[in-house]
Amino acid sequence: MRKELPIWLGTMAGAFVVATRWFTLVNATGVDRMADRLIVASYAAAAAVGFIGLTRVHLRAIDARRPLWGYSIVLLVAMYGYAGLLFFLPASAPLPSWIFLNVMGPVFSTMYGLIAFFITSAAYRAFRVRNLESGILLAAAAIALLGNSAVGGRIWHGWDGLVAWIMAVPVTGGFRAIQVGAALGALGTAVRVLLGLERSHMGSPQG
Amino acid sequence: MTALRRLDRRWLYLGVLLITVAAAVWPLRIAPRPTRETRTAFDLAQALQPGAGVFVYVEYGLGSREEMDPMLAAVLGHLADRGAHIVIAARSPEASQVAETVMGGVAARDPAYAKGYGQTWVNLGYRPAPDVALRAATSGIAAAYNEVDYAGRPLAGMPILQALRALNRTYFALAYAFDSGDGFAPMIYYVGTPTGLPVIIGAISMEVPLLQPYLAAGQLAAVIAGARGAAEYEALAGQPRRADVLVGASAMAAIYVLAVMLLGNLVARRP
Amino acid sequence: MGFDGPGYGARLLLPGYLGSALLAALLLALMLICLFRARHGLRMPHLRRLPGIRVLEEMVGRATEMGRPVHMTPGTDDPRNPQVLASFPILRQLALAAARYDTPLLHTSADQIVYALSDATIQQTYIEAGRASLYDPEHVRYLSDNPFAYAAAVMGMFRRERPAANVMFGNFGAEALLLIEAGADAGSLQLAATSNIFQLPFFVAGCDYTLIGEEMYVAAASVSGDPMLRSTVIAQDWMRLVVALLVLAGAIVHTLAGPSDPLRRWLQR
Repeated sequence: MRKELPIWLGTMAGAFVVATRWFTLVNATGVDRMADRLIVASYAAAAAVGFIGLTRVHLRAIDARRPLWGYSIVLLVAMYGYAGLLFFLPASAPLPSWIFLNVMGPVFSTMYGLIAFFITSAAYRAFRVRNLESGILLAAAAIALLGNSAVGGRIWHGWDGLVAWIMAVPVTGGFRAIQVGAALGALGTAVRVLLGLERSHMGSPQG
Repeated sequence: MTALRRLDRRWLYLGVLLITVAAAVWPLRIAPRPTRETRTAFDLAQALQPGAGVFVYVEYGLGSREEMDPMLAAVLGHLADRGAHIVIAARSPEASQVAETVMGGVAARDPAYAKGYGQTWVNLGYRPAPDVALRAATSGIAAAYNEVDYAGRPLAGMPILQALRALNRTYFALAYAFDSGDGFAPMIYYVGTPTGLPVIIGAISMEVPLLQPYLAAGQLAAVIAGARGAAEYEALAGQPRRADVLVGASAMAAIYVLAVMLLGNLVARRP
Repeated sequence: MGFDGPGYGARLLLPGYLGSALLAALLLALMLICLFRARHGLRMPHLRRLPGIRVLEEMVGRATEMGRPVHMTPGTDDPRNPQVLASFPILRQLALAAARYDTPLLHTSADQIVYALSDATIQQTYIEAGRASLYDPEHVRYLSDNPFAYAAAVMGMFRRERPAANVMFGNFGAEALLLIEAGADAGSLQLAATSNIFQLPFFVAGCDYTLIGEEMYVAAASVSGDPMLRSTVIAQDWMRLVVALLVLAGAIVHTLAGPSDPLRRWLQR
């Protein structure tokens, strides 16, 4: 029963949500909007799980003097400090806004900027012409690269049209095929979970 | 050639660094010709009547600000010029602060928006389980966003939300998502397709191929593509030019990456 | 809570959902038929094993030989994303192999609920494998909700702990390339699976094995070898055939009828 009850609850809740998405009769009752609020509330509560998990892991790291334990102190001070600040001040207040724009902003921009560096090393390794297919891949990449950066259009006025064709025909065709397959797979996974066939996420064996 | 075969990736990174510094010191301004998609996005906003409802959903966070802020500012500036009533929501806490900062800059230029918070625009901010909030907004915005705005002020007294009650075609003329990866899909699935509201996506350039199937199928009204799209939009809408420099920098980077790709092939081919 | 949407009149389905409802109903019917056949031992088509799945055991074996851990991440989304749900059977299989070889399995996540579910899955799997003492809660880590903060933490972890194998199975955003290059730098054998199309090119370029789109769901359903689950994959394949025929029919009807395309209008009712 300990294992069956969550599956039954999951199946019923899932079927209910599906019904609200498709059937006018259920949708018009407005009951689904109550379910929406429950989901929102459960996600807000889940934040506490992460907070506790991080605290536990880093307190242990400090306690056991693990390598780089000093950074665990930095993490806990930053996490509790910022959370404490937002307990007393709204996120729009000058101090949280300042921290957000001048501390977090540059850090995240740097992380995003790293992608530009890594793309270069990945391009150096990955675009080797070994056969006809990889040659076509390289040619398409070069055309799209120059087209998207507006260089191509300066070289030849037809360049933008060529890029538009690549994006609209071969790229769209390929992506659609992958997307349709992925959507069927996602739907299949949803049905397996709703039918209780797939229960690995509950820590239980499958089937 | 042997040295090139064993090339330390940090030499490649140094090249990127030099390009970035060069682009910052000697900005290269390129104003590209508008593509059909950018022009469609512009035309849709240009056709708005004063007071028309527009929903702007911001997904991107701090990391993508350099690429996306000019686009968001150009579109919001154009919407303000058209006198649209703008309802902003965000997909993450950081996106909500990004939206507030960009809209703050746009509003400062126009008295109707500088003093019109709650009347001409509102920032609903972020709610946990954001997709659920977005879906719920199609039948009632205030309830979906827990009756308070980004800063915790009650929505009940705000005239804008008394007029624009639900995120559907009855109340709104256009919906936008400014996106770096995760925000466009809920906008299409929960808002565009079920309500028939025209959806425009402003996306980072990396994401643009992903949007093509939706564009071809008519599920998206238009796409504004990365820094290039932003530069095109700025030119069309007569907004302050901030994206031209980004296009110049990305052009230099594109040529460098192409050179690296060719170098990789040259090294691999030589015996 | 008042309802502000348009009235539906005598409609049974919400506007625009007829096509998707029909396809979902057909998939459900095909799955039930396949489940029935599997339960009664009736003949079923053969399902080929994906190379990406064959390699899971090899990855753990490699890590054991090198005396280094295995890392797995379900990406940076929450469990409402089916890609994240599909990662749990793979996690279970990896945990079984890790328990068998006595090799540390590091699991990192960027969502609190995924963290709690993963922790429970790993712990339960170790108990079932009779190696409960090997379960270490500190190997299951929630790092941050923010994808870039998460990637920064994983990159640091890769530098320090140098996993011999890295399994990225789920939904990834712009942080994908950061994880791939950190894995390559640590010398990890890398397997990636996602149906997030705009990260796929990075995975294909940077990883040793890639599962593309539907393959990840097939892998998740077939990894345990359970015939009931495998039968549902066959239903998915039948459905794929139906969709392909529908695409073909749509192309013909649209070419002949133009914008008045009756098939499209009917499916979008």
